Amino acid sequence: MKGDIKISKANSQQESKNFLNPFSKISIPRQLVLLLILIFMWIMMAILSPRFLSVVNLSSIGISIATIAILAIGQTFVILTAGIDLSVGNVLGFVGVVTALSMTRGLGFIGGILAGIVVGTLCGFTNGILVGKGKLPPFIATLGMMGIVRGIALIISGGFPIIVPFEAFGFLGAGKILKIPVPVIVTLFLFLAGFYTLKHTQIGRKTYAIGSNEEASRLSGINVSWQKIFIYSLSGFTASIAGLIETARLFSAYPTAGSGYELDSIAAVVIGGTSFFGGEGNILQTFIGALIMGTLRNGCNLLGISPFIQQVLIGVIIIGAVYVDRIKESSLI
Amino acid sequence: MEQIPILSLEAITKTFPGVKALDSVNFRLLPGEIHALVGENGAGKSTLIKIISGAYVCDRGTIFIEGKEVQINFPQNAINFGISTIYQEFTLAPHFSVAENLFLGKELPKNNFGKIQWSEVYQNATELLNRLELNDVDPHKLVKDLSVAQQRLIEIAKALVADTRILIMDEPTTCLTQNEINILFKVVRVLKNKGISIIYISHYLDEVFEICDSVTVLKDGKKIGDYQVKDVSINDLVTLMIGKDIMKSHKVNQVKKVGDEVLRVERLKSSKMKHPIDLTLRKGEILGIAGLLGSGRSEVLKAIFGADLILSGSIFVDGEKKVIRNPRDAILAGLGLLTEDKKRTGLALKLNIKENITLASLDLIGSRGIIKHKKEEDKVDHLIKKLNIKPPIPEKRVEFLSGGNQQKVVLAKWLCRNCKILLLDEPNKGIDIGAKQEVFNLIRIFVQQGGSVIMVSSELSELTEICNRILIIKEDIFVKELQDETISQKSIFANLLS
Repeated sequence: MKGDIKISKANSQQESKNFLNPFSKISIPRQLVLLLILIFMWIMMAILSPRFLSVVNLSSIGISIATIAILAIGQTFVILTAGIDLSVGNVLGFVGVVTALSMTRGLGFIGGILAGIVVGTLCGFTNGILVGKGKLPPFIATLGMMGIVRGIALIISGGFPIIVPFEAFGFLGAGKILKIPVPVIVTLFLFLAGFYTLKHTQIGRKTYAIGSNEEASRLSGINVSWQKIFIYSLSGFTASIAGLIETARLFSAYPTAGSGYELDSIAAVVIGGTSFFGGEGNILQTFIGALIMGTLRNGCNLLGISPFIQQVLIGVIIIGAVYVDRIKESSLI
Repeated sequence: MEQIPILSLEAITKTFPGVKALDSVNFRLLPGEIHALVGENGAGKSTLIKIISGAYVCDRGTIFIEGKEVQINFPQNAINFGISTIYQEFTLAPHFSVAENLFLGKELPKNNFGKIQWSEVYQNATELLNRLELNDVDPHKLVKDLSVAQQRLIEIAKALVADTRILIMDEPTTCLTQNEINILFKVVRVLKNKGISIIYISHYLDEVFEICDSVTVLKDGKKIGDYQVKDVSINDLVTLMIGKDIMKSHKVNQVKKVGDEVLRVERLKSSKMKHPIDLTLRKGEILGIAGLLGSGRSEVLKAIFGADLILSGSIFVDGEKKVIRNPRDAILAGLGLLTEDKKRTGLALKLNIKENITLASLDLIGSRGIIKHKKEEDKVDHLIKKLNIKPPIPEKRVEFLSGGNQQKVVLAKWLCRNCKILLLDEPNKGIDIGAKQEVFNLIRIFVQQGGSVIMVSSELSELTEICNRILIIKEDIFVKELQDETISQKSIFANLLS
């Protein structure tokens, strides 16, 4: 790879063979490495704990990572544009409160769900306006939003959890279809949709382009502001879905739900190898990143390893994953 | 009597996976000489200077400084030996003042309490600038507020602050106008007279002849030879560099059948311009805009393309009034802009050739927001062939392409869009002679097929070579128009300076 930068005509042909990779965007090696790590973790866990491969446990891993994984979908889009969305965790909590409150105040079952989704997406939309039109740094805009939505959630709930009045709502959190937990199905569906969007649509292509070079994208006729507004709205939307699932699982909405989830979602994206500088990465990697985190947590629990140590481990993995990328990149220059 | 070279490289070899960047290259630099290093892109010039400056370590070979064998494994080693490098990219701190930049990393004068004596710092800076005859640069000014040329001069001045004995200059005249180049050369000569040896890398051979004493030609990682500049001609060098004689200037533009007016700009003014401009462009015409750096030449193109904020004026394409508020409007009206700095504003470097080519045409290769991959590939394959982009692999990331091929990708982006009017800002910046001719041929084919071009260039020879008509711009005002017969480097030059 190194020679590539000063590639001369003479060797371009030879060099090109190494690059006959039809999935440049997917960068197979990276995904393979991630997948191998995941499989290795599973094998280790299966040996260490007989309970690990049980249906009950696998379901529980699926359910436990569902919310983070869903947040990570929107987060992947945002990070691909070289942005960041710190508000997703608190938006998740806010959406729960809005949904539960709407249901108790007579908006009904469907009305409550819609209210939650609309409000959550609007939070993302506002982030998008601030970043896309207002040219605020994404860190600042979403940090502000993070505080605002948490505050409003506490105000309108009075600081207390709100119990959801519809039993059917629990299906979204604890129900099963063909023995597969509903949150897992929703997660898989959203990942497929995200994958398709990034790979096969104009929106996806523009997302990468903006992350790689915003000015070149603008000069190529891409409406960068609107694209960003769309992407932050999308992140708000995935945060809403995650909020609904979280609320359904607990059967009540806690105004402080989702605290710190934004960091977990960023961690999943980063462990997956999506570049923090934008333009590189994809959603499958994020999916595997989320699975690695979920497996690690679950494994530690099964093996009785303290949750404090889990935090250290995850921290080490995040730094390690990005450090490996750094080395790879600097060897290119 | 043989002088001891200040720097001598013997049998330097450097291999990257799949390519021998340097193959047993010898190089000798004498004290106080200006030594040019020339060769096509990919010849190994950059690798060689990176080895000298410690950015790379060679696989085999020995480096001698004043006859003593030395190891240069890190940039810091090179700096300790008095080797400074001025890269094409700027390495100044933009938010610091000129003086702060000059003495960055150096011990600053302090009083007994450790307080920095700024007045002394600025006085030293002024003296230093005066020694280089750069009297018009204010050391208090922030570097970001300087012109490109001034920034480059500050980098040279900075090299003088460090006790530099060997100064490496990589394409120092890129983006500079003739006038600025003259100032730069003056400074370079001052350095030479102080006994500093200079390794000078440039695509522009006339510069080599103007300023250098000797020249080393590299080709495909091998040294072709060392020559005294006075013993060779430009033609000799070009032949040595590319192995065949392509120097023949293809002047003339074929039959000029310039057609109807395709673009008319009236009283157009953007936020970056001091005065409104008017211009017209005809079908099949290549209109050149000549001006010094800072004359507003790039801003005119950006204004037409809607890339800067438009304050007033109107634009007519094919006689029809078009509202152009942003690049998207311009593209829909059939315009395309090739910017001066392709890496910063033209290409998405992390994306591949295919994705870059179709970046402005996503709506054409898909329907309802979904990309039609087959259609995209067909279009891209066709353009890669037509423009001879190398390597011809749509999935190759553009950051790994040579400058010439990157430029072709940007051109392909606009051809993919089928735009009718191309706005070219320094289309030959940073690309080698061979690629330059290819780019010119593409432009000619484009106009023969009914396209029209407005081209800005600081290379007068390029303008005279390809343009039908040239506008001279000064401080945002078109001061003179030159038509076919009256176009010559001399006439442009005279008008620029008058």
